[in-house]
Amino acid sequence: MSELPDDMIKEIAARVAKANSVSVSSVQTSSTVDSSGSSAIEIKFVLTPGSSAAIMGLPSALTTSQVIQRLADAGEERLPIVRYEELGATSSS
Amino acid sequence: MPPPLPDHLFDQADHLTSGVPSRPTDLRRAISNAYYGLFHFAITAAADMVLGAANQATARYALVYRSVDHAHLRNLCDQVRATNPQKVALVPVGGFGSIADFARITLNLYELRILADYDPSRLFTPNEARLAVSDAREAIKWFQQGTAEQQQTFLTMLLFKKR
Repeated sequence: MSELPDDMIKEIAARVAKANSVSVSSVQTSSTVDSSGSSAIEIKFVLTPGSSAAIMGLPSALTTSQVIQRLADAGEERLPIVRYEELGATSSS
Repeated sequence: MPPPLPDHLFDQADHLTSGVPSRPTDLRRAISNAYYGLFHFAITAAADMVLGAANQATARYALVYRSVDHAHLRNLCDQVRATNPQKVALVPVGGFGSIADFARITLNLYELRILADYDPSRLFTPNEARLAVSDAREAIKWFQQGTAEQQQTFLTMLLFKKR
């Protein structure tokens, strides 16, 4: 199985977000498993405070799609699971 | 009665994420609705292609509609996530175009839906749930922007497995 280095995954993800005007504070990655039980990579875009509303619609959808596409094109075989979290927002369990 | 309508599932999700504060279960259901909107959109399009929308109330339409399971849709979407997919039975002339964007969003929302429905350790914010619904709405626009050949190729592979 081909796995890209973490730094490269973050770089690709950050570049895609920037191209789609998504205001990202950081990109976090973590190893996980997907629904089929295979290794996967969770990619979390940590958004700057108050920026979520501005990316509803095309910017977030393009970012999600292009991150998955570019990582596959770069040879990453693990499925990326793309998530968004806004700095300062409260998560609910 | 028509199949579940994606717009209604998305509207329901909007309602679930609009509470102050949003309840955790509401956020999980909203993410699930975002995926289910795409699932029902895809299988409705596939059944319409085979039998026509005029037959939605018939038993044969229900048979086609129920023939697609979540795992098969998920695996098909996984197969077309790269720009030049290698492990796919059919490829339209010029590739999948915006249908591949639809597939990538569906794939991502399927995985989020599994986390939302079955993993109590995962946390979700109202903004993440709203973005999931927003992504689902964009995905349907992308599917509709595909050519007839791209749409039919994807839907044919959704209904029929290569042997």
